[in-house]
Amino acid sequence: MTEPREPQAPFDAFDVDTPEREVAHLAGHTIEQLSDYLDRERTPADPSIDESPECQIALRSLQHLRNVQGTLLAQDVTRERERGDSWVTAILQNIDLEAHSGRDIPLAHPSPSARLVVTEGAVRGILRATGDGMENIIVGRCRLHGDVSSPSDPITIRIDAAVSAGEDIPAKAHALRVAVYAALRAHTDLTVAAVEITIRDVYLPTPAGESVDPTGIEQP
Amino acid sequence: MTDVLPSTDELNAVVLAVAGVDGLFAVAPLSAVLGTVRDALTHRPPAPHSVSVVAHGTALSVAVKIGVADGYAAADVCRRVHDALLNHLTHHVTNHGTAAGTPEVAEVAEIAVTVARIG
Repeated sequence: MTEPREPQAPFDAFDVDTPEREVAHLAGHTIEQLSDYLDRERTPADPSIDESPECQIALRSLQHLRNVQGTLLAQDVTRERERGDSWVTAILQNIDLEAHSGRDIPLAHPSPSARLVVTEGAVRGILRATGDGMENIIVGRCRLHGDVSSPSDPITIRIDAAVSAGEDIPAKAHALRVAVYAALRAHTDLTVAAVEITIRDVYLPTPAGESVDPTGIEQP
Repeated sequence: MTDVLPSTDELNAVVLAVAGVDGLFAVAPLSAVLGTVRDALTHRPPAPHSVSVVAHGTALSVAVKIGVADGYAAADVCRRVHDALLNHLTHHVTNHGTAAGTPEVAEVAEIAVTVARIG
């Protein structure tokens, strides 16, 4: 049985990461530095970012979050920041956490010389992108539970997400589940027992023209 | 011995010619291990983002880390990269190994392909 959460306790739907781990995951960069890089429209080019698959995965997610967050009410984000448990901040932390390569997921091939794998980070990245590609939904956390090193062993995918207010949540969750199954079939040999989707939050659309910096960093 | 090993430039081109591959990434930390061996064999500095090649006695092993473009199935692309490399290396071993009269590299032992990014 789950213990009731204290009202002011951090929202535990999303994991948090330490700055040290964050830097290790992103080829020596922080999520804020990647955000700055996007601000500068990736100029001057930084090979340590451009040539890192982890950074590329994080940049894509960050870019999407920026685009989506242009549809969020500024006051809603401000309220979230004041609560100290902003789901936006948590999403940023998860983008970092999920971008690292993680475990190797083998791909079958009849050749005895073949050792083919897709990284867990690449799979998490494409699952996040799959959700982000749908309207009015933001993927917060994406996890692969189980032994991914053995394709015949069933695993469970757990995704936490937020949806825009007014959406049909069951329909949205179903659509996401279908899309995730399709992505996993295309990109992996994994045996998926279940895709568990939890809608953790509802966000409000904003009037056109208003936007918010998704990093939550105050600009001078 | 230098002529026996296929050039990384050549192998990079083989990999990048596979439909759906849109990038090569550093094969660390394996490259650190392989690079030492390869450097000793070829006296060439290892390219940071390329196919890693090493000869283990009579066997040749290669490793590559790729990005897969949007719209392609990563599993299929990964298998096609393996097949393209195997095809190229088999010809290389047959032609160069025999021509050079060097039994040291006589077979392709392993082709490791890692998909590091999708889309």
